[in-house]
Amino acid sequence: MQEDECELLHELAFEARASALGAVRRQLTDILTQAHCSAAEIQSIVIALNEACMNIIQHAYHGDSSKLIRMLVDVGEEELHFELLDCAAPIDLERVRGRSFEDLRPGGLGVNFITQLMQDVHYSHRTEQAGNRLRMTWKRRR
Amino acid sequence: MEIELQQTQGISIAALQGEVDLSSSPRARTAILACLNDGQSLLVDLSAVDYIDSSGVASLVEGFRLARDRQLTFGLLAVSEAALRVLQLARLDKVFPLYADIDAYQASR
Repeated sequence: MQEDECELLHELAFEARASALGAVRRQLTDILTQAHCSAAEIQSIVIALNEACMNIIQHAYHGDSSKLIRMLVDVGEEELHFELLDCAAPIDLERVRGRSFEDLRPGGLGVNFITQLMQDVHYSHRTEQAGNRLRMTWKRRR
Repeated sequence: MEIELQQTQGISIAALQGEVDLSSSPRARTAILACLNDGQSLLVDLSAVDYIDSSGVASLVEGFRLARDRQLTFGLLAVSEAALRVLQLARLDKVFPLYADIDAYQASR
């Protein structure tokens, strides 16, 4: 995400703990409301970002709540771009996939939610330091 | 998240209120599984749920599966719009029995 290309860039940094997610959802809702997103858009984006944060907490940091998650929100006219950054050991990118909906079992739905809701989803390893990056794009519905 | 348990018309109802997320869903899971492990059929009232994430959905799936194994009734009551959206994303709105209210459940029997 190049800051000079952004219309408005917001950054949140928070501890990777489940109890932090409620406040993150509310902050994200405020940002999206200010960005004139509709209620339906806000609902979808918040679901996707919350699931992505959950995945970092559970599968990248493995519950180590001393670590931080950074969330960048780039508000543009046509699209919103989201980036989640962690400092965890690099994840196996080949293993990041949703599961079959036919497989009725608890868990494993987060990636499905993210890929259904966001128009572009890209996982990568950070190059500037250890960690992982998730980039997601939301195309505005006008 | 708050959980209120009651018995009415021969079935247990667990009413969840607020946000069912990664921090609170373990309590929902415990309450749901405790009812079913006690041999009680269960309806989970989601009318006052403003938010549910995949961990909350996972608790419902566990309840559904346990009830099926034990031949007990398990269903969802008065699902809020926010919860229904997430169930639809998980393609579970056609899997879980959904009832508008307790009368609709009784009428379905």
